[in-house]
Amino acid sequence: MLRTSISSCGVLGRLKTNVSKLYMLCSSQVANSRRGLSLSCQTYESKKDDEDLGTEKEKVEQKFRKYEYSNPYERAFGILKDDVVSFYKKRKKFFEDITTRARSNAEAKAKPAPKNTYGFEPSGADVGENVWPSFCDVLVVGGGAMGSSVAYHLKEKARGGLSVVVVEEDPGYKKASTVLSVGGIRQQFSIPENIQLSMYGMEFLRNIPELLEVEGLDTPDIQFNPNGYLTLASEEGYEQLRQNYELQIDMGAKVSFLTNTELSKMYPWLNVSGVAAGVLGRENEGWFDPWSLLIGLQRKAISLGAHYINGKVTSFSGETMDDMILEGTQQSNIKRITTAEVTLPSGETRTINFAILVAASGAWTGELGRMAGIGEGPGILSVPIPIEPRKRYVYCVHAPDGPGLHSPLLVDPNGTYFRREGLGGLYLCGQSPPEDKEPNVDNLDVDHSFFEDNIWPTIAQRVPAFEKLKLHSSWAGYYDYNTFDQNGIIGLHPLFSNFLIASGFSGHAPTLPGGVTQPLAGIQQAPGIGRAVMECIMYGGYETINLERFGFERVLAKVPLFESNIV
Amino acid sequence: MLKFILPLILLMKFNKEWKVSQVGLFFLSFLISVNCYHNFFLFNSGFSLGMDYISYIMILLSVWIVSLILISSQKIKNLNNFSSSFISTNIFLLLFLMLTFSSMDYLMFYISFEASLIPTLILILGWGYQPERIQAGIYMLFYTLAFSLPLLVSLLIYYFLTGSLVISLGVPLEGENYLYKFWYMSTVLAFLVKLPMFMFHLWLPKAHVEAPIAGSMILAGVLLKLGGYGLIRVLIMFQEMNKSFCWFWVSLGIVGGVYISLMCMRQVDMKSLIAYSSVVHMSLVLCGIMIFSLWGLAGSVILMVGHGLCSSGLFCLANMVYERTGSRSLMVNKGLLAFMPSMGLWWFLLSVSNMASPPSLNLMGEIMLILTVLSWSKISILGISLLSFFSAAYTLYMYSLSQHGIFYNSLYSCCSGKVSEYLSLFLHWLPLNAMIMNSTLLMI
Repeated sequence: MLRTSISSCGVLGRLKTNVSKLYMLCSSQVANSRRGLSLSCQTYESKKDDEDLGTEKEKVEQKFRKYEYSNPYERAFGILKDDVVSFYKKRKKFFEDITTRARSNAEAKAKPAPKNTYGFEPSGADVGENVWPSFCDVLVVGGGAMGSSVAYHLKEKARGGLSVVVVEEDPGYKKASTVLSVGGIRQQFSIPENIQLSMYGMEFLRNIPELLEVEGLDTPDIQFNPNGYLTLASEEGYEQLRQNYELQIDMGAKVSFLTNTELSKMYPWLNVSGVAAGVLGRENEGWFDPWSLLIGLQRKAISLGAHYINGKVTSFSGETMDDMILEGTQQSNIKRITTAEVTLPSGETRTINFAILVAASGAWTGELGRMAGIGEGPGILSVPIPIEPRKRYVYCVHAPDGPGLHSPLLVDPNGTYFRREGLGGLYLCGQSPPEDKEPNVDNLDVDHSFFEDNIWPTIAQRVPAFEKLKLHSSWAGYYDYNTFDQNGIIGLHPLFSNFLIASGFSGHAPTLPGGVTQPLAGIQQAPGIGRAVMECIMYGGYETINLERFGFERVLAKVPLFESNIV
Repeated sequence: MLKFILPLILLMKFNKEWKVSQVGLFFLSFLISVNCYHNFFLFNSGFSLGMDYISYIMILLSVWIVSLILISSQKIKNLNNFSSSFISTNIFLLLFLMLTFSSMDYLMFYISFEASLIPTLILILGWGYQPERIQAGIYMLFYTLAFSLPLLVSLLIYYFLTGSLVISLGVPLEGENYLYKFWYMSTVLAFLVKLPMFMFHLWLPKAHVEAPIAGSMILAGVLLKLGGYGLIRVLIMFQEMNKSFCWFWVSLGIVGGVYISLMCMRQVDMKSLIAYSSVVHMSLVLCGIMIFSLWGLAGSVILMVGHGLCSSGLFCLANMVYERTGSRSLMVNKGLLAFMPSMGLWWFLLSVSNMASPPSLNLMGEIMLILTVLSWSKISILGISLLSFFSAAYTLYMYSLSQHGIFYNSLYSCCSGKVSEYLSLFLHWLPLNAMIMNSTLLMI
């Protein structure tokens, strides 16, 4: 179905190559959108995937033009010779392309051309599809929701003015936090900036049909369920819940405060013993399909001219700017990272030179920082980026007598959550294990005993209909967990002139030791963070949402910024 | 003339020592500038090479620019990116340029004119950065080659017709039929592409942007002037024919100049903006040459020299920013007054020279050219006024966008620039603003 729509689009050759590239990326990923659900499980999303399962084998093909001369004379004549030789090899295809393009142009003239959403052709380092982008302006490491959002916002604002390259080591997104998340969006935070980020996230999600539309491909549909979040609090947490509620109302979130009698009237299936009150989001809260958001952002970024490379950044090299004067510390040499070495899946290594680096690699940002020297060095460099992967489980259960359509994403006082999934009586549930019982992050295997010991008793107590549930499937994913204060880190590293960190947004855990974390909150902030990084790069500061408090300096100064939990 | 060319050839032996070559080139420019009190229309002649008023200033300009190239390209020396080949390529280029400007024979001029393309191509492809430089080099090579082959044919026909190709013995041709028109076009187009004129300017933004700093400086500084110089030499033969065509070139020059200066306001790449502004300046030069009056020729020579120094200096500045930030885009290179405060002086001085403010050579050249074009046709005041206005507009745009504002990394630091960079910019600016006092050096 996608194939025919692409060949009939035939607008401009450039767009065609971009679209065919998109198609290749999409096909390999649409087939993988099962998100760990077993093949026997038929959620209504996966019904569409079945048609394209046959193309799963088609990996993202990347073949870059290869030249390795160092001597300038050889370089000059060798490049010319390579150019002539490669043209000679592709001459048949070149002439075929011209004739098909002429033919399809004639067809397109017969019917009116579709309206172009953007004013001019996508540009960038557009010398052809298989030339390695050895120089770019912005290098985004990590192509998940954060990285794609940064790439999209940068290209949307800068168009041809900045060349953006995104390096993603896992184009099927098998280990990324984005696609393995539950996809909730809520305004119920206790830090005002988080509330603002989510409100912008919701506004962005609402406008996706216009913003992320790519000519010739289907409009991304993120399947937003507006059922809201319901955060419950016991007697001890009542005060904190009330305070958070006041702040949320101040910031403009549309939430209601419900006492336990009101709760039991509203949700008859809910057992309100032990619950003093709850806050329900009436508007702009719910859950959506993070996969569609990711693919929508990625496709739009590619169509605007961003380059996606399948590879892993293995090392950095840079220089010390010894003519720059840094005031305030004894260490007076700012470093600048100039080159990243990328290892392609075939094993060969290539380098990219860039002006600005955006570290959006999620759970592996700490490791990326260590490659740049953050965490291994004297002085300021001795503090690593405190983001590491933590494994979390999500279980899909089948309960035909469950809460049904009228149920929000419920967060129990002890941190367990569940939400409805689809229309067939399936529910997703999960809980973060306490600090001392963190599972091993080497693999993504699921521990079923965790469900039986910790989650089932809680949700069965909260919703009596869940006593008769059956575990359908489960998957595991990584949180990009900020061990310092479980809030995101965004901003420049003080010692590097071009290392921007944008990671660590999953979690939002409380401060109490042995406490539990609230469900994955990172995906909802992806649009807001993308826009904030874009403002940092292009305007030199935050214009819309001021995220200065989330900078890396708080890690250096040891001043944590905690979300307050509700017990 | 050989007293300059032979030491230059000998300088190639010293390509392994950067400092020796640098000092040698400055010394060579000193030797040439000693002739500044020349009173003859032809001097330093011998072996069919000679200097007159215009070739003298062009040779001085080219040696000066090449020595400034060596100061600005320190990165090649520091990273040891084949610095000896770099120096020999540059000296080769300088040799061919000197031969071009001092040749007294049309054929010798043509051969060295074409030969100067090859070291430029090697500079762009060999030491350039981006993958797009392949396309840029091809554009430059083929644009110039395709249009200059008819020039060879026309020179040979001239030889067969008049018996000599010596420039000073140029016999003005008389004839009005279409064959003469065709002859005239094929001769003049070669230089119009090099100049570049508006319709044939596509190679210039590509080549200037993708070239390394050395390539950009030599292209903007000297190679564009080859077109103007060649036109002045060749129009001696075609004076009568030129009168029937000059309206076309002047109109294209003015209209094209206005259009390109509007394009300048849209650029996001610093080097691209400076490259397009070169086209605007050269279109005004074209108008002056084609009108072929005394003030027209004098004004165009002055503007050529002024533009060579100014654009070359601006490319140096853009390169300094690129070396520190890694990007040429104006979208991340903002607030440079906070990032490199001392360079703000040079940005300002060279920007105002670019928009023809006193006391720069550009001012004198533009005034003379404005008067020339105006005296030729009063209606051109519309185009000329727009040209001057937008010239100031895009220069202000470039200065304000790059210098004012907030630098994205305005955390706690600033950078001041190295002494060698200051020296190179000072040596760009000093002749630009001091030579207006003794501009008889440049005029007929």
